[in-house]
Amino acid sequence: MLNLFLRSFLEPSAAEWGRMLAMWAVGGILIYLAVKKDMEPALLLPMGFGAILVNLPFSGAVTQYVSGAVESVGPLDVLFSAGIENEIFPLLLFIGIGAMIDFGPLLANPRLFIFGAAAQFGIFFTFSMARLFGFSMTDAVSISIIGAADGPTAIFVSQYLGSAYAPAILVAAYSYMALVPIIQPPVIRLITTRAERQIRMPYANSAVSKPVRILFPIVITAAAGLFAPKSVALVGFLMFGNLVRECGVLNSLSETAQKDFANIITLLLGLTISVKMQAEQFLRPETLLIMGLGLVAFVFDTVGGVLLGKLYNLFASVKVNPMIGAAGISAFPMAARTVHKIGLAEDNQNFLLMHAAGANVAGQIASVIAGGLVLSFFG
Amino acid sequence: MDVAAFVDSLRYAAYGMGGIFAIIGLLALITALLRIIFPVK
Repeated sequence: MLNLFLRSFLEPSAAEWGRMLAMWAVGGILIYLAVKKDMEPALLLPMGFGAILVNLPFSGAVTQYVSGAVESVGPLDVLFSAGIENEIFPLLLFIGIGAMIDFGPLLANPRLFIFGAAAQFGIFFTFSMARLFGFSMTDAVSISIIGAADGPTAIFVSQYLGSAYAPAILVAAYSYMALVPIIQPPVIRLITTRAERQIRMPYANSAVSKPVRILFPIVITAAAGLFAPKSVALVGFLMFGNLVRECGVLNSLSETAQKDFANIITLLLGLTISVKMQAEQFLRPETLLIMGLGLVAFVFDTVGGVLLGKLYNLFASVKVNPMIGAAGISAFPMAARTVHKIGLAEDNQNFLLMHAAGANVAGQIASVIAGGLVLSFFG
Repeated sequence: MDVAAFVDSLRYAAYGMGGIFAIIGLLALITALLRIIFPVK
């Protein structure tokens, strides 16, 4: 017993202790952001705790090796193999997300789909930037998918492509999603005029029939599957969740998927992803670069969406408020709320929420299709 | 800085954005069609 105790303290070198302490600090920061700043707490808190857990000397939570042979199998490694390595956890989480989303505003105005597409611009811009900074093709794709503003898609793609930077990508994706209300407003103000931000968009509450609501997830899955087969797992699980919500006969399942099921998967996902937050994998200069590129991705997502709104207004007889383009990123519902708030700040009678929500859920679909598309190119 | 890789990546970025707009445009058309076929009664 005493030997084990002494081994924990004495065997790691000073450098290893330094790295472990740094990771405890990273874990502490993530827990602080979750608890004090309410930034994606369901994910950042388990990740933060996990970062400490896996960076204890000879941690029993992760598999330990002696001379290359397995000494003890860690439960977090077992969970990682069972749920993340095979991409099951992110896919299951999509069932919950699909059950949470009301596609009504998008179904009422399908033109909003284009803003979802435009706001994926950050993905492809960041991909080129990552290549410029010397990342390999697969790592650049994995990093760029931070711009999908969608945690499960980021996990799915980075894991599918076997990127070594998956934990940093995840931390960046979830941190910036929580920071959407801080990142987007200055970007939007920089590229729009006050007059543009004041454009009013009256909301005609056009109802959507029940058959449309039920057929939408089925038809979208089939269409996405035909044109981007690699996206069908992502789109399919998302749309299955939505079908459970909209069918009207599975209310109990829908509620479970939205709450308990999604919560359990999120909890496991956060804790399990921390397996990859072991000091030697996480503490490298590339991590900082990835955090920077993640910010670039969110900024250029916003730019892409807003610029499409401005372009649309050049040709349309009824103008749109270009800010709703910024809501085309997948961060739901933060992006829609952010746009709505800026609209109200410019004109207290300008209610953009429903239009922004439509663009926002379009962004959810576009982001998973973008994930499937990049896998088609590079998977 | 790998400028050659950057220049090469622009091609993929263009394909990606083109692909997204093509698929999303199609989904928008399908959705609009669904609304016409199944109007609110």
